[in-house]
Amino acid sequence: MDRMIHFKIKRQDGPNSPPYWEEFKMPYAPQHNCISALMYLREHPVNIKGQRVAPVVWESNCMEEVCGACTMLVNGVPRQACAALVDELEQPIRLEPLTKFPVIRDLLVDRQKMFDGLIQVKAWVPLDGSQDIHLHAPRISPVEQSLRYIFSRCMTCGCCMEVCPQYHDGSPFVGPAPLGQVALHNAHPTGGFFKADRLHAIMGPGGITDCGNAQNCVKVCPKDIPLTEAIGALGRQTTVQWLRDLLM
Amino acid sequence: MATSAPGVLERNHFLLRRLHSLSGIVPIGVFLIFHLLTNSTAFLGPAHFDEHVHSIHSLPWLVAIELLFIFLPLAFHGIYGVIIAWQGKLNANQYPYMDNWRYTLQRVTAYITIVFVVIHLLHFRFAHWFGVMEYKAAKPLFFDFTQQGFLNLWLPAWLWMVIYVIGLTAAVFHFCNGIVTFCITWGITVSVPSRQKLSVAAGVLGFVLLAWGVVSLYAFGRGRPEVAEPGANVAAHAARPAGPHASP
Amino acid sequence: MAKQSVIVVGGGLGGLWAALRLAEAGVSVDLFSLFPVKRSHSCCAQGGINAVLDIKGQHDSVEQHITDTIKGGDYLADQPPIKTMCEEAPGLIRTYDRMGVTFSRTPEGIMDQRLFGGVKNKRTCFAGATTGAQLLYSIDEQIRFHEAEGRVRKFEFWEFLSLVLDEQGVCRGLVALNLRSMKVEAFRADAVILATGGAGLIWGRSTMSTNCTGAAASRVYQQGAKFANGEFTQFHPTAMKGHDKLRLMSEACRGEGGRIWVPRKAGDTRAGRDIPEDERFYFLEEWYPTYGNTVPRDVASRAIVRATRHMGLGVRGQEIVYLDLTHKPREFLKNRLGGILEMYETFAGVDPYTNPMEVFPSMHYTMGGLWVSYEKDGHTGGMVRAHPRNHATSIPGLYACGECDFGYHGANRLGANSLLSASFSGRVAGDAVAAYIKSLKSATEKTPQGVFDAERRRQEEFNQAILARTGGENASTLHRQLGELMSEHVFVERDNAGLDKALAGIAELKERAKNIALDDQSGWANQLLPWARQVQDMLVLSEVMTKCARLRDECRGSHYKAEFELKQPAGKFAGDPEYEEYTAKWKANNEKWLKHSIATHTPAGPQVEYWPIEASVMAPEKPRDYR
Ligand SMILES: Cc1cc2nc3c(=O)[nH]c(=O)nc-3n(C[C@H](O)[C@H](O)[C@H](O)COP(=O)(O)OP(=O)(O)OC[C@H]3O[C@@H](n4cnc5c(N)ncnc54)[C@H](O)[C@@H]3O)c2cc1C
Ligand code: HEM
Ligand code: HEM
Ligand code: SF4
Ligand code: F3S
Ligand code: FES
Repeated sequence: MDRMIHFKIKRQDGPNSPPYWEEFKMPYAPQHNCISALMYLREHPVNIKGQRVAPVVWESNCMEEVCGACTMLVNGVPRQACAALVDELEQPIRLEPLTKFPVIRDLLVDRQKMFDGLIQVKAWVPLDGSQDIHLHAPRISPVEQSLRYIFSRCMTCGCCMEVCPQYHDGSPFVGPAPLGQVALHNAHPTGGFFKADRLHAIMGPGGITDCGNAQNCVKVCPKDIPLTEAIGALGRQTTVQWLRDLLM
Repeated sequence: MATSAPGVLERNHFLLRRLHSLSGIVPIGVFLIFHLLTNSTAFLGPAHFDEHVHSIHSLPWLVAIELLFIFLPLAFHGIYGVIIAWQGKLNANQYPYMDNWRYTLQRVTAYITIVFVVIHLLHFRFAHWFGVMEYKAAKPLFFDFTQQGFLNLWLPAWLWMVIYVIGLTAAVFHFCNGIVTFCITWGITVSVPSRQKLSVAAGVLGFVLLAWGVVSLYAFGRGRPEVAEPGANVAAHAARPAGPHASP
Repeated sequence: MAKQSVIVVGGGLGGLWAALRLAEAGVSVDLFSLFPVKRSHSCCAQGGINAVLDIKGQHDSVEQHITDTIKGGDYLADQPPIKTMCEEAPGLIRTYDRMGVTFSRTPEGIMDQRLFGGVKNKRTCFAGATTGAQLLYSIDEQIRFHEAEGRVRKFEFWEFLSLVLDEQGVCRGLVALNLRSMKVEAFRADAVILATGGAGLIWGRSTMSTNCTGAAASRVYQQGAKFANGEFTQFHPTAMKGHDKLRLMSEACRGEGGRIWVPRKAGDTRAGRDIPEDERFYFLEEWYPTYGNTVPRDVASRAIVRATRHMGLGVRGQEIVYLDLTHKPREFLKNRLGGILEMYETFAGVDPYTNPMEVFPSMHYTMGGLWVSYEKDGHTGGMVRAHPRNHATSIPGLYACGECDFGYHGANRLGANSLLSASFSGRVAGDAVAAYIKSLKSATEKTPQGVFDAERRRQEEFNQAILARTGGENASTLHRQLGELMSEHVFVERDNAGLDKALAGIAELKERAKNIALDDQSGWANQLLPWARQVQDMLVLSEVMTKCARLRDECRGSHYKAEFELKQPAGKFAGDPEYEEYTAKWKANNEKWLKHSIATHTPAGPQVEYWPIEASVMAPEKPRDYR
């Protein structure tokens, strides 16, 4: 009954403080995930040396892998900590903040860059106002719907950005997630009217050309979004767009 | 980012990236195929090789062609390529997916290739700058010229062989993997199965190119008693049947 | 007059719709949220959103939707807003469609609809198994467009702390806490819209996201806003147990043939799948032979509590029952319920295709909330469009929409009606506020700075006091104990003795909460400080909910006290004298209890009064009867 859960957590007191590792042990209980364990530690913030310390800071919300808030490195891999079950992890469980985003404190990072990216690529379907115009969108076949559906599940969690070698603070690359959203909106019957705008937005520095085809993004996406296929499709669309710009 | 007016590079970003991508295939890739094919004829005997080289060397406007279709594209692709390669933060040790290794090797082989090409050009094309291996004079007897370069210039033959095997392998990998990424970049292969098929084809091509390269190295490097002494190339030429285009 | 501005607190469906309407009206909007709005709890909704499109040849009608909603809520909701909501639902869905929501399609490429609980017709639009996320994302994108155009400013990672009220008691802005720098700042606005969602965390754990504390609603309640129908909270019968959250196993599991059972032998230690058929007790099928496993949510929850708490038959002696789908073919399940079963497998670590799932009822939705008004249209019987009274709380200049208001659902919410009400109410609130600020006599610019500074200082001092304390109560411990108390006494079944115990317990916790001390004194991204404040505010709200429950001596919708149950005569229907007698009793009870309970904050605790409901669309003539 002395089974324990052993955590090794990379902590950082503030954006400019040096990171340090701190270890915690807590009593084992079945079906813990990394966030529920952090919640336990918030109530009992005692490290392995027996010192009472400030509880670990982290971000979470939905607790079911849909909001993307709790993304962090769990044993070196970016994923949603709320869906990382203790029983399935090798101990000590290492928790680290994402490395591609500025650390605010401990496991909490600032992913604003990702949302800025969505603005940059104009990831929306332009409307002439949200009033009812008594019309639906044009018909969409079930096949097209299911293609778009896959992309529309992106929760801006940042896993794909974390593993992309082309995405880091020294590079202007928008990263794979916003590119997936361009593919999504270009494929909408009326969103497609503004395809050229979105393509132009990803044809400059930091756009699609900065992808180096490492294809890590697609392997870690928790929502199985086919990012590399989006990148391929956008490669084609941008080529055509470029020719069109040249000739017309 | 948008504080100052975009420079020439930024304004033509898309064009430059696409030219970089394209230049890897045409003309550089095509050159590589022909170059290795030509070299491989050395395996069939010096005469075959000389014949091929001669037919190339008798093209009109050779210097212009070389400049326009080889040196300039190569310089552009190489230099811009280094800039691009710099922007990636390699992470294959952390995320050892096969595609990530290929991405990483594409960068590593790029660095190797650029070093190799410089050595290689100094070795054969511009050795006369150092007062050895008079390039122009060697024209009709190119096999011997090349063999001299391997056996009797600056470094022991085995070391040349090692350098060339490394350079050759790097360049061939870089090219063949480049074909696969080229097709993603341009949106030629979008779906995962189509990429897998192309990867197999590129792999086969890689083996062929590698084989051509290795047999030519074998042909030049195995050494022949007639050319064992320095400066004996003319004598060597006399000692074997003259090629059909040998000048009097 | 300078450009007017409005603050929207909350970026779920409610808040984003309000912000969108205002931005479109040219008003500049400041949007506050605890985290990026895209991560709001609305993204958890799976099932769908109701709107009558009548595409399945069932002759579905808006009138039927109105009737279902009113009856579903056991008549306890004001009807004009329901009427307008149901009428405008198809238009709302069309708008979502235009925004690019990936609604599931029929072979003809039009939006598909499915069946949901409590209704007869297929009326629920859905986007795979992630409808809430799809709706939220699409409107989030629209807001991002307005953000790019400079009409909306986002204040994410800011926590709303309190309203700034001027001498006349008019809301002129708010005070918020920067969750990174921990700085407290006051913001001016011509009006404030609160769209801060539900309050599941009062039960410790619920199907809601862990930020659904209800603290924001509690804070404005403490500043004078009236809180209505607090006793009405929905308990969903089938949720997974977890240390952190009770994850919802959708109603669809039972809809697709899932069976609920417990072992016949108390404390049976065998694994569920090893228990032979004849030792399983399918209590829903036995007790409700007609409906079996698909009885409505409240009935199912009550039956589960009876089997486990009263009969002691819970799985392994715990408060757990089996939700069993193992008799269904794997392919079938994958197609129909794939996403949900995956979630079960992820979080339980057990394969639900071969093992019965372990579930229990869980707090799921707050029907009650901030009291909001509306302007009735004498001609149509619905709401007047874009009227400044719509969704106005009892504090002038403060509006509320989404799950934190009390409208639309009465005593019980129908499945897939709350994505609708959250969206619709947000839209109405946005339009209402656009009209309100136009009619404002004195602009907020003229409000003296001192009013803002005073409120800011009050909040700063409050924070300083908590931070200065060392060695005291732990907020998480108090929260856990509050959850245990609520889950024990203010749950599916209630009785006055238990509710009294809960009130006493809450009072004690409130006392202890005054001594909360923090393990973290940092002035940077300190999460314990807001948490400590949220726990205190949850305690205040829990008292409102418990007190209202204590006072309401009847059974209505989700609120059930066995002692006051009016039993429907078995096998008898309208026309039968016995049934008529029952109806008469039911009507007499309505005379007394078919009223909103309205709580007002006082230092001594909530004062509760009863306000009439507006039943102008459909008079409460017939009792709810799902037989
Ligand atoms: C598991 C689950 C499944 C569901 N499925 C369905 C379904 O299928 N169909 C259906 O119709 N309904 C469903 N519902 C209900 C529905 O999801 C919610 O009622 C609805 O999404 C509430 O939306 P909202 O805008 O009111 O609030 P939320 O989406 O909860 O948003 C609240 C917002 O307020 C902000 N906020 C809160 N407090 C503060 C503060 N102090 N300061 C600043 N910001 C603050 C938050 O940051 C957040 O942005 C489901 C609910 C659950 C729990
Ligand atoms: C001289 C040194 C070279 C350097 C530094 C270099 C560098 C690079 C780099 C960094 C890339 C990746 C570009 C990207 O991912 O966006 C690349 C791609 C490529 N290179 Fe090179 N390269 C060199 C030589 C060559 C040679 C000799 C060939 C052909 C024989 C070649 C063919 C290609 C091809 C086909 C691609 C793929 C283009 C694409 O993905 O779109 N490169 N090169
Ligand atoms: C297999 C081993 C190789 C051998 C034996 C070899 C041999 C030679 C020789 C003899 C020349 C001078 C001939 C001439 O000017 O026509 C030459 C030129 C050149 N080689 Fe190679 N080479 C090899 C591999 C490579 C590789 C891998 C590359 C990589 C890109 C390369 C790139 C070049 C270039 C760019 C020139 C100059 C071309 C020109 O002047 O037109 N070679 N090579
Ligand atoms: S694409 Fe996938 S990994 Fe990337 S942010 Fe979206 S959900 Fe996360
Ligand atoms: S990992 Fe990065 S380099 Fe491209 S294929 Fe994915 S975006
Ligand atoms: S908390 Fe939402 S994904 Fe983990």
